[in-house]
Amino acid sequence: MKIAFVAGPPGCGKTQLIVHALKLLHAEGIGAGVLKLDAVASSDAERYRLLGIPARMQVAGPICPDHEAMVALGPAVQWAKDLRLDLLVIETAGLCDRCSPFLRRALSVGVVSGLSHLAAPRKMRTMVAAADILVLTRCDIISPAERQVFLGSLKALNPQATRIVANGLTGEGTWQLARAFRERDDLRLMDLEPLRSTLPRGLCHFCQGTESGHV
Amino acid sequence: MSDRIQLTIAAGTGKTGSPEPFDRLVFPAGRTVAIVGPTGSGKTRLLADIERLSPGDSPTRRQVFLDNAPAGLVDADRAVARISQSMQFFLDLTVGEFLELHRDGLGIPAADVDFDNIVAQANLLAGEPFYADTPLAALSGGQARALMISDVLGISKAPVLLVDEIENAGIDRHAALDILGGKDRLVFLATHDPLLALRADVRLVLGGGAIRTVVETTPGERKLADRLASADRRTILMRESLRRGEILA
Repeated sequence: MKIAFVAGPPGCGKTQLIVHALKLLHAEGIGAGVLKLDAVASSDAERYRLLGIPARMQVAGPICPDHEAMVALGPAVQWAKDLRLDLLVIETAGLCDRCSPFLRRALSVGVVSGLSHLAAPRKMRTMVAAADILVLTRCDIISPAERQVFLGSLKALNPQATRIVANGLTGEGTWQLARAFRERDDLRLMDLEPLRSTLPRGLCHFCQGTESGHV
Repeated sequence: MSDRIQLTIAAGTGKTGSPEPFDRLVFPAGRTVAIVGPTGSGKTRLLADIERLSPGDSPTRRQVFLDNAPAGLVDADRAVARISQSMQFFLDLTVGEFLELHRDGLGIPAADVDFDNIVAQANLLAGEPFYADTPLAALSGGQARALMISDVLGISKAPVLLVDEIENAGIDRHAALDILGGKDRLVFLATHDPLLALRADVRLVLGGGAIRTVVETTPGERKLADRLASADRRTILMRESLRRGEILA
């Protein structure tokens, strides 16, 4: 089975991109499901299911979402195998941008909105620098020149990554994401799979699940 | 990039799914192609299809080929440049920082770009002058559009140029078109302005999201365009007089 992580801040368009890409794959007979991780709450799993895409929801609650992703991964892989899926996509909105959920051998996709500040990719460096594919969304709002500036900033942080511009509303450009999913080799999660980036040494108040940040 | 290029549009469908009435349209370098049709008829969508050298995944299902250039916005960025209807920058940068980052983002050597000339060129098209240290957010709509035009000419130098409703910007559209054209460049121009449409070599007439007909500009229309241009120049002179506070009659 192929395993792909799609990460990016809330509201950058991850779900729409995945929906379009999986529809293209479904038309080719490739079965795909989604494990959706969110920090607080989300109705996205229901959105996937309404479109005929098998989906599981995992709310991290008091746990760091990237930790929660690793905990949820084993059961989700088993679930996808039981459904005889060819591809499992793990969609996750990071919370503190300190970590990224990417596993060494799984396809790693980072999503960034073209409407964010030009410094935003640098602040999400762990995710941006570790990704195999970087998708820039919301480019229908900004000027073409600004899109090219944004793409340049992504390239500076991660020259190896394939950069894609995609429109979550119309699905334009998502064929490139679908192709990356399709061409990814199958992955056997026999042993523990290392993360691409190191975890923090200490836990912040988000990860500890306390209210101390509000004092 | 000095090689003569050729762009091909393979027919897609209109909004109702009916096919466009041609197999493929071929456009060589050196031509200016107007795109006309009422608002909502699909002009901007056609420009977007060309901009990404669409492989057929847009709502129109049109396919666009430029010689052997690859599809997709990132890969097509050096071959096709677009001046959109956007009249506002979102980036929190000065004009100079923006131009430098744009050059760098496109991977163009610094020696190939004359930043002072880009700002000077933009100021020729727009009204009150702005400078390299002016924040993008402080530019008016017309100044922003003028900068987008001179930026495309001075930095990307793409052989295919897409221009969306240049007449709306409050800039000198004759001067803009004069500098945008050229014998090695293929220009697509979406417009509501008859004068701009008649200045093109050929026009695509859009309706219902589809290219309905292709019309070559006739010799009579070229003469008409000259007459319209002289009337337009008189109007522009009056505009300048009004701006100076003069009384016209």
